[in-house]
Amino acid sequence: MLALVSLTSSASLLRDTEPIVRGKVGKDEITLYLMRFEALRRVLPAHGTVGYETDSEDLQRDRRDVRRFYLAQYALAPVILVAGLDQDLVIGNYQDPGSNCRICRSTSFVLVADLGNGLMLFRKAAR
Amino acid sequence: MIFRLLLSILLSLSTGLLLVCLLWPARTQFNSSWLIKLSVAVGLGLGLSSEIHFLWLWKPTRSLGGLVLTDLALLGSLAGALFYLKIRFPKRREQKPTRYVRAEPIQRVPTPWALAAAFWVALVPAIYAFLSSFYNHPHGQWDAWMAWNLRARFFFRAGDHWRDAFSGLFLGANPEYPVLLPSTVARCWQYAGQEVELAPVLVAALFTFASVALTYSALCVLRSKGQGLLAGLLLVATPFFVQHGTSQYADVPLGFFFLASIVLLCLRDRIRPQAGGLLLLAGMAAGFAAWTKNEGLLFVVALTLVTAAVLVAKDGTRAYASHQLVLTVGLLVVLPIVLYFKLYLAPSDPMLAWERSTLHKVIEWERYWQILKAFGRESLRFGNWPLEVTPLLAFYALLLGLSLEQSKKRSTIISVGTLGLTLAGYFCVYLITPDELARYLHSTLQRLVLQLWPSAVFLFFLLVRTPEEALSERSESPSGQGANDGWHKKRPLLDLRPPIPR
Repeated sequence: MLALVSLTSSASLLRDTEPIVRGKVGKDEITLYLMRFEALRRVLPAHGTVGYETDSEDLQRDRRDVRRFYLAQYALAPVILVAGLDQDLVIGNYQDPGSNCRICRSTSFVLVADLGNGLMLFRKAAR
Repeated sequence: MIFRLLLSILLSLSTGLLLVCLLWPARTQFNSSWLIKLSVAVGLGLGLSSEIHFLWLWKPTRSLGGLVLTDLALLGSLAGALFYLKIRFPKRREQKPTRYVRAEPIQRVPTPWALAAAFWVALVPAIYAFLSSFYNHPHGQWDAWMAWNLRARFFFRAGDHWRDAFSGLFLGANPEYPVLLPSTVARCWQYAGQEVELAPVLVAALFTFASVALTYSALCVLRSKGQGLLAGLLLVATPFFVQHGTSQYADVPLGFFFLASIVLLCLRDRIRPQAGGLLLLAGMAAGFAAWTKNEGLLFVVALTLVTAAVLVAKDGTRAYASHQLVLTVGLLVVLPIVLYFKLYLAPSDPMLAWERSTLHKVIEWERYWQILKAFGRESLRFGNWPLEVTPLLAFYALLLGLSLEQSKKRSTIISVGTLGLTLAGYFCVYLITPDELARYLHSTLQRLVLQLWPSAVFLFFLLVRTPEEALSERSESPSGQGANDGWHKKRPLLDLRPPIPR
């Protein structure tokens, strides 16, 4: 009886497992998302702390924003990302940069690089 | 690249295997013991390699050659020591007879072939789940890239700034957690020369399947092949165990070290008193649990306290002291580095930040009730099984009965007590957590139960009577009912068969 239940469970595991599709290899959501940051990695310092701004003002409010933040951190390691504008360099990572890029309207920062797909790098303006 | 990655894994496994063979007691050559040795070697080998890699990070000038040389030096030393023992004491290792004693030497009834077939069939979906995870989610699930693999990237990419991995700025990414897993993955990458996505998947698969192999092989030796197959089948068919194994989190590796520690204690109990090596290995496994996750430290404390309570009460202080001494030697292979990490590298643990509100939480009785309810619910529903498996296991135990001989053994009492105390520790953590309790229970409890699951499965099948015992009793009597005195003594707690004619 126990063995039968176990086998049923194994069958359900097989049913729930995502199928392997040849053409999709290396094109999973996270790999594709991480590829966005390759160009940015090359222009960032080798280590240090940089600021981070995204669509919502409070990062913690939206779980999707939290996920994007940690994925950006994973992509850009060993640079440390800190939410907010307190650093000399700030990364902007937006879904809708036209409406949500608050730093674009600030005079305290200048755009260093627009890497496309809502990904930007800003530097604190010299006083 | 792949060759160098496989070489790094092979070196770890060989180191683990030589260490296990060196400390394995003589005269216990058993068919199944090779699988036990190999399974234990997976964890201890990877653990030792992660330690060496972590120490290597401290070197001012790091080179791959230095890391490989250190790994090879350890491997050579262990091989040399084993070779020396073989030359010096040839008879010690060649004597055939085993000193393992089975609880009830019943092998008259062959292991049902269907059970063996079911076990092998159940392995297929588990293997497929790992292949699918490699192709569809090579970076693992949320915590894998947010915490574990992130720190592996720091170790691999940051050069002299690798300590940035423990920056207090990583709020929510658990920078205070120990680093067995990240260090193991980063070491594989060092060997491969680049961040190969296969490395964390391979490490996860090794820990998952080693847990199944250890449960199966240890029960084959301690109880019977049928019991081992049933336990292995139950573990590999637990959907959450496999799914979580593929996620590249640290809970399955932690569960492996709990299991290894308990299995080694139980094996040692069978061949006392000359099995200090097994005790030492058990201590090392417990130490590596503490090097994997904070919960491992709790396990070490629980193991120490329960061992003291049981052995002082049963055998006296002197016997306890000698037991604890050997266990501590094993722990000392790992614990100093864990303590150094905790004291000087890791940011302070938010769980240990005692405030006035913490004390207030301890006297909020609703919290106790909320946690108890969650524990009860989880113990029933654990595992993402198609149906609730805990009541089924309870029914199975009632049907077959418990082995009284097993339940009286010191190792069994220590193991059950340690798991119980660890669970009580988890309860206390929930009680004082600074997080919102309902959310915290929802997001973590299933994983905490998972850590204990392989050990719980092992202990369950260690205590419950074997299918062979049940079948042999039936075959002893033509009517299908046993009629000897032993049978009367061994009747299940709940027996649905007709009464025995007297």
